[in-house]
Amino acid sequence: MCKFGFIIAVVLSLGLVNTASAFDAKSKALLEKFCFDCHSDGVDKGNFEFDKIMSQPLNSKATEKNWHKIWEVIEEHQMPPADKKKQPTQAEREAMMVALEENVFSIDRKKRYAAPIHLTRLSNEQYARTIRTLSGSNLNVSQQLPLDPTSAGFSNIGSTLNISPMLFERYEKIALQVSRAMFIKNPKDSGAFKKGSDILKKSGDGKDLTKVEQTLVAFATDAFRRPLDTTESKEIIDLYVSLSKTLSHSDALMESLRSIMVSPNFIFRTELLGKDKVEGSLARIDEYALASRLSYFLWNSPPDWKLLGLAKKGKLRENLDKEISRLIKHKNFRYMTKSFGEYWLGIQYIDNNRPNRQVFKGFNTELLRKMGNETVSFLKYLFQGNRPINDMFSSNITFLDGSLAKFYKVKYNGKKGYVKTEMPASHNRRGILSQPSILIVTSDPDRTSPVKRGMWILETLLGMPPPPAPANVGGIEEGKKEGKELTFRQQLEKHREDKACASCHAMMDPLGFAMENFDGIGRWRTEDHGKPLDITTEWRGHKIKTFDDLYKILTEDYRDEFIACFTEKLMTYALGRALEIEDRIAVMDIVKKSSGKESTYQDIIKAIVESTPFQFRTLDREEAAK
Amino acid sequence: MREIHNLLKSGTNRRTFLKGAGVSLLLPQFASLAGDKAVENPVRMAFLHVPNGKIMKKWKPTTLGKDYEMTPTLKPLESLRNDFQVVSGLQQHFANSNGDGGGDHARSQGTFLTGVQVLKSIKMARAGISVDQVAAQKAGNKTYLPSLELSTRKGRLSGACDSGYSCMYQFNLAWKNPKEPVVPESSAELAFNRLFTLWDGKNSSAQQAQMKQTGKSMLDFMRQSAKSLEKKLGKDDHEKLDQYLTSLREMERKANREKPKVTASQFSRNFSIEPTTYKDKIETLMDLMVLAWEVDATRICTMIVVDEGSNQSFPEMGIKSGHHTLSHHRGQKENVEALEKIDHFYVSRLAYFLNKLNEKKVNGKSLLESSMVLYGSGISDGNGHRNDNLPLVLAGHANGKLQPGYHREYKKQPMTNLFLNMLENFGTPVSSFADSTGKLAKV
Repeated sequence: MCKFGFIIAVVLSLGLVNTASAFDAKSKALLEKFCFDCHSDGVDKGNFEFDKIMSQPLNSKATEKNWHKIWEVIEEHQMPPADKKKQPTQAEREAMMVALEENVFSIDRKKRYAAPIHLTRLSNEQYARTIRTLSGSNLNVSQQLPLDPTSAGFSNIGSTLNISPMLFERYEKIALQVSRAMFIKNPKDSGAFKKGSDILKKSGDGKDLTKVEQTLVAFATDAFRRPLDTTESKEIIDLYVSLSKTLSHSDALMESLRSIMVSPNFIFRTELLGKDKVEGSLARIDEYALASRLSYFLWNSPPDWKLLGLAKKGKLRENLDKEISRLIKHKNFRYMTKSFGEYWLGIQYIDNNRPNRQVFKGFNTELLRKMGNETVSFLKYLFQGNRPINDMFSSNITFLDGSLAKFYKVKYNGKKGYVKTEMPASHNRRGILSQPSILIVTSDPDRTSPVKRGMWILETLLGMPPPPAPANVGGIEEGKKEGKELTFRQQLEKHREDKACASCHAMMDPLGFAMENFDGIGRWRTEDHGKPLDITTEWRGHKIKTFDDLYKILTEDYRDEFIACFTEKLMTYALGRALEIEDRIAVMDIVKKSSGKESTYQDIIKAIVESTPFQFRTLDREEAAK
Repeated sequence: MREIHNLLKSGTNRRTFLKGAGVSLLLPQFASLAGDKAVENPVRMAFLHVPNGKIMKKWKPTTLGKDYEMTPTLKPLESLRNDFQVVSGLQQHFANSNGDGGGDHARSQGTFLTGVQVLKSIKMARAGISVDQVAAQKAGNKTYLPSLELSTRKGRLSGACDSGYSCMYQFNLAWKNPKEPVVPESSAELAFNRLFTLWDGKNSSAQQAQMKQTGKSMLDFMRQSAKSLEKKLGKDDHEKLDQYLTSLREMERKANREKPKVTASQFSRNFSIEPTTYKDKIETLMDLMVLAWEVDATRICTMIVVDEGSNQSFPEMGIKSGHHTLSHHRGQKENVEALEKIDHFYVSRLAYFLNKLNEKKVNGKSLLESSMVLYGSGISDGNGHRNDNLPLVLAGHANGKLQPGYHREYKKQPMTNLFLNMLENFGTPVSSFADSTGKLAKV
């Protein structure tokens, strides 16, 4: 979703009549101009013809899938094909999309949209941090949990986070371990024991049940990230009473805490269901829900006492700006940059890569993890340092430890760990595209892959994924042609002589060629196979001569696409769900606000927190009926 | 009784951990509520998935019948010739695009054991129940764990998954229903502790009555909390809570039966050490399956030897490029030769597994005699992503229900037909499965 937003106003006046005639002449003319040559009047390239679809009512079930496809290929710049001369301007593209959204999908741009919040569990990363915070334990929890599935690009997407018997066993076992750590002294986990001792002390000796109840309810309030209702409090004290029939006070308390840490109210984000205001079919989430959304977004961790304190007093919204800034400055913010950044950039499994050591002599796979850390530190710097958006592709700042400095051949100016390093101009390192983490995950074990790199830019930075490769497609012919060594680029160009492949590769390869100065492990080079590198190429009418021309494309020609794409990814992560077409209103609003040269990453973060999808939810049917 | 452990690197210490193990809700019961002891040699089954197809010329025997000629890729299985059969010609029709465009790797793995056309969406996954889970749902309660799911890898090589598909298809092989995969375990240590208790002759039965009472109070509390929460939810929002309740019931089931015991003398591998080589990693998980079958902890296993589309590199074999990249070989000699080596590598791991099963005797019979092991890929030719004529080996005798030793060919029949045979042999017959058209005449 990476377009201009200004054309929206033009189409706003359109009615919502669901017939083909609802398209105004202007939108219809656009579709005609850019689509009908190949997809109308009997021409049905790819078995796709507008006439058939437009003969049906626009809201017909039969053509719904077709319209979604049309919207998608326009939105992702797949159509018109990149090698067609006739291309819409970005404004025209946006106009076509808006026309579809309003007329076919009945989206009213004057209305506010927020999705319902369904019951979802904590992601495993969130769970690990939540249970450690709650118990004070430093137990390695993540190691005991399976990997959460990735959907919509992230591992915190509620709809695909399931609870299986295996995961439930782990919850039970981890709760067992941390509850023991809280009550059995162990010098290696003194945090947990301190927390447990405090709780035990507060609870008295067990004779005063009110005291016990207060203590347990206080713990559960932290655990559930919201106040308890009377039923919930009663369930907990009933549990304690039942346990204390056979156990000592201390043991009954320990087992109560353990049970709370396996309660559905701990595992599920029930706090998000709270609302404080109803506006039509929308509910504004209450401040506990807001505190939780904020902290799991910006810390990937539970809300701290300060957030919960503000929520309790009903003062969180008043102090929202200040709190966002505080959360961004806090050390926990690194959990967000790691979790969001690694998944967004596709470097979360960088460790699994194995550059070929016959080709890249002396490459130490230990470096892989460090290269990933470098990129995460760089993102953290951009966010925490409130850097301008363009810095992503131009900054000469990076973060190196001793071994990375050696790899880069720069002086390490620290004592231990990662230090902020200014790269000399001679090293040609500018921004994220020159970082080895990205360059390695987009390479094959023995060589670069301009195709993968180009595709990475399109998918990760511009939100313009090329259409998937057709079935039965072959790869690149390696090595020699008529006895001659070919550079990889020459091989790739051979492959592109195939017409079927050419149009898609025209979208991907040139962007990848522009990165050819970096080899398969991210070292700067000027030669390939002993021949000087030639990276002169053209992408969608933009001439590329050097690596720096990519900077111009990403920060000028396609800046809005990048901002929209970045916003979309960050919003997906913040909300823990895939975005819907309706969310594009909020995304485009943020793009519009960020158009100024000085706009920063914190501006985008704040705009997301303030947006309707973050602050509201759609009422469920029962709530709405009331 | 205790657990094996290597979790001491941070946080917990040994003492806490062991003490903890003794009072888990899943504490071992010694009053003998033991499993289905009446069946002395039950049929066991395993499904092993390997990616990116095979070089079919070197895989598929050119002749049929009992005296078929062994091929170079199948060579590692030669000594077990009478214990396995090559089943050729089967296809997975719904692994083809059928209008869904690219994404063959995600699709092939999603279809492999389910036989359905999986949903193409990055937002959610929808496949179908897998063959192993059909068996697990019918007969899984006979063992401590209904089924065991393993994978050599936590995660994938690249962050992204195949063209527009959710990553769930390449992370999983077993599906208990169209929306819920059964997530595989990649750590042998964690799987070990989930399956077994390491028996050192010490019994803590003195504590048992008390622990049982504690466990009951806790489980009651969890169930009650879930019920109260249920009342607050909208009608359409019960899916995840139902998963919680199902898991709770499964835990209660297990808490009421004996956790399988193994003694240190029953295995030679240290499961708590993470293997350093890929070969070792595969074989460690295979050893675990053998042990699980030996003590009847489970009878159904699926193993993602590695995920579809894997770009695993094999530098120790002198292969420069990754498996997936190579699989688009375009007939280039160098690539094809490297792929033959990779195919040979995977078949050698299968040979390792089968030999272990063959050596292990339970009640006087080898595990291989009582089992069915299906090994193969949902793609035949990796170059063109073909989903017909799949490379499959079915090993074992299933207590005499299978007739191994042959190369059989069932041209263009759905692979799901083979599942009908397997389910029947397992004692959980179904009349149809996904696109099945009827059992194979003979396997």
